[in-house]
Amino acid sequence: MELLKVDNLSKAYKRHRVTAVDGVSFPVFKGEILGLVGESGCGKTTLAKLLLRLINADKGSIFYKGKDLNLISYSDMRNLRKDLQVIFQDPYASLDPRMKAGEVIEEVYDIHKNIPGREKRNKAIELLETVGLGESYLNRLPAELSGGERQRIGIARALATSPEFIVCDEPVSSLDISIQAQILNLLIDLQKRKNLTYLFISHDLGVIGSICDRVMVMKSGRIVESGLCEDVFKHPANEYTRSLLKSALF
Amino acid sequence: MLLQIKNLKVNYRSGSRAMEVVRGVDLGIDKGECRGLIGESGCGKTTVGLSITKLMPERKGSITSGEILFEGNDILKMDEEGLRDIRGRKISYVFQEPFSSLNPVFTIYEQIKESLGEKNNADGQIAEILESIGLEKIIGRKNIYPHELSGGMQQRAVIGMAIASKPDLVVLDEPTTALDVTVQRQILDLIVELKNKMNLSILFISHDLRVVFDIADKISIMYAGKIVESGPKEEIVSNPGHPYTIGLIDSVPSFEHRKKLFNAIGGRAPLFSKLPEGCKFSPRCRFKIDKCAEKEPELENVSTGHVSRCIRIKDLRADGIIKGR
Amino acid sequence: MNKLTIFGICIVGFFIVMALFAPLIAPYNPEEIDIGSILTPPSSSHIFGTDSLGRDLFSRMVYGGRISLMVGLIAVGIAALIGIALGAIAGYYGRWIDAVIMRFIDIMLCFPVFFLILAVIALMEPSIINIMVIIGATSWMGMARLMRAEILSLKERDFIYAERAIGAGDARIIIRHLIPNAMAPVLVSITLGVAGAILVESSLSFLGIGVQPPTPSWGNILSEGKAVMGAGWWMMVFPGAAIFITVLGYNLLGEGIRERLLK
Repeated sequence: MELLKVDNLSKAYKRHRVTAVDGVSFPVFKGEILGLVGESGCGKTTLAKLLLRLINADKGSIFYKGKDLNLISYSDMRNLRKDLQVIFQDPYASLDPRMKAGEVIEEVYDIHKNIPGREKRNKAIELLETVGLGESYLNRLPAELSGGERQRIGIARALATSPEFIVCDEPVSSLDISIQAQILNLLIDLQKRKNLTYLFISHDLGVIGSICDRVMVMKSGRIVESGLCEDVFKHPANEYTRSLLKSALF
Repeated sequence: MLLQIKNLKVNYRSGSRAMEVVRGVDLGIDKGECRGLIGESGCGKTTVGLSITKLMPERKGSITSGEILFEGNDILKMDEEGLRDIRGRKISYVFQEPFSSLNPVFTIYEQIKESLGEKNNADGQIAEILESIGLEKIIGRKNIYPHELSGGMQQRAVIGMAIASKPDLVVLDEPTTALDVTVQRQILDLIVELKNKMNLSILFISHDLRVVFDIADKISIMYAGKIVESGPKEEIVSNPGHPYTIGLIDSVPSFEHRKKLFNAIGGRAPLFSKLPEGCKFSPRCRFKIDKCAEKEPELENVSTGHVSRCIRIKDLRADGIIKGR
Repeated sequence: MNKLTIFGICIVGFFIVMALFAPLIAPYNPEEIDIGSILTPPSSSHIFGTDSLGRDLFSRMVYGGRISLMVGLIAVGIAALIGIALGAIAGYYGRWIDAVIMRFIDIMLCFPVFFLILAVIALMEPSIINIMVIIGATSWMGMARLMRAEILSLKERDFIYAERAIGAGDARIIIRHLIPNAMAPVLVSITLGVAGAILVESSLSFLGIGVQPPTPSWGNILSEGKAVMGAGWWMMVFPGAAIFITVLGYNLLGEGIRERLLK
């Protein structure tokens, strides 16, 4: 089933005179992990922000379950945000330095007012446990946490709205390799248990190859190759994909 | 042996407390050899690199004991003049961020010329260096500034400055971490090429074991301020001798390891202010027994030239619980 | 903590305590005229001496400090409110909103502020409230610029995108996430601003268009002292010193905060 469909999406930054995303179209199927690989400046983070409508596109449309996100109202969009979530790369920048872990999660419920006040704390504890932390983390500030722990809180926040689709924007790139493996395990496990759909962005072919079902290769704002991971890794059709694979260290 | 670090200990001050972040490191590098030093953030690997020419900021860190023998002379006993003679001439550095290693207001030509220590006409030498680092494009173009180059070309220029004075040892601290994969490949190839051509010795520091496995001849793995395993690359790759190394190798994501959970190391690295008793890795180790927490193990031979700081490794191997791969 | 900062905190704390407990500290009613002891020099019964109407100078100074401090704090509070709000709105929304607010700030900065205040006071009645409002309304521009600059860099941080992603509205993002994280440099500016406001209030009162007698303020005591400079040195020395030390205290405190928060 097609969960999300991107059609001819474009975004240019006039001040820098670059077209960050240049006429990109692709579907995302329910329950898959779709990889997006590319080097710095290829437009992958801009694409992520466009998908979530954190920035507005110049051209093109995004359909979520058949609904055109360009045409829905402001309040419907706020509601839809529950379904579409994001996990960022830098766990140091993605948490408000002044908010405790528990508050980060409780805020989600404050915004959506969908559970009674007394329950918020319990839900926060439950989510912290889901991501491998516990009640003892409720009152911790980001500065007191390691990179991996912060990233887990970022994941808990994304899960708080019970989303269907999560954009993972380089979620393990700034982590040490042993921590990276823990976080990948967590993401794989959550995806299976909650039947989530991921768009998984990374510059690391190893990470993409180990967890994705399908992969898209992006260069200069365009998708130059896409397909099942097995096909792209074993029989790359595009010149750029081949050079990426040749450079990768395994 | 060109460089030999013996029992190096370094203290770092944070606020009023002093913490030992390098807790007795031994490391040797032969002429023409590339030694890889693998460790995760905060394990003290960068401090080891900086200590070699006493480069760390004085108000923050101080070397409390040990010897650093370079061509037989103890660098730690040298005065400032002796150090200046070595820094940049015999031992040079390349760091992670090329742009912050280059001075933005000087041209690439001027910066390489300065590293050469030449006052007069050095154009011939500079052209030679530019050619050897793959920057033929800017030979003769004396008005090129760092910001006009891409990240990869900047890092080439930094490497050019590091090799300009024909040093014996180059310390490369995460030189490819900030670069894209294709550029990383090119820089690694360049380093190998220069190493062979100039018979350079290299200390290659990185958190990324894939990079170190690619480039190093010998590898040391550092955890919580100490070397926990050390040996020839082939041995470490195919026959790792410490549970931490095994955990790291199991954590490497790859296409071959598809759709399986990683056999990841649990927990997180300890803080230097709260180091555990005994083996520092034991709280995260899946092979831990009670004895591990009693006393910090010494480095012991597992095979020729291959040492490990683990009391269980021989038994685990004998029982077939840990197999070569 | 830096010794000078501690010194600054002591000064500021000392004057705040004086202001809060003025009725307990002042030995006399500051407005009680005593024709029998006009311009007596400092003595054991009047430690700072008396003024030209025989009022106890120390008591007047204590109450005057209360006025000066109140004017300083409230004026800066008004300035901070305007500055933070306009700066945050300009920084967050950008585009034409930013352009309009920034041009308005440029215009405000073109006026010689002190003459602007003189002109406005000349039209209005010189009351304490008017003075606080006018000082506040003419000293917020620096804070607005600081706030805007901080917001500009903060709003591109991932945690702000994360807030948007969980559905947070603009008001929540600005008030709960951006402003608190942008406050450090503004706080320094606020502290230094108190010193500035106290100086402006003293100058206005000295010129006779600030706090009106018989209500005491350091500025108008100084002004009265000017008339009797030859006969009563204490009438100028003590209020002058009080203004100097207070301003010094807030400046030291501001520097201390700057060092601490902004490294």
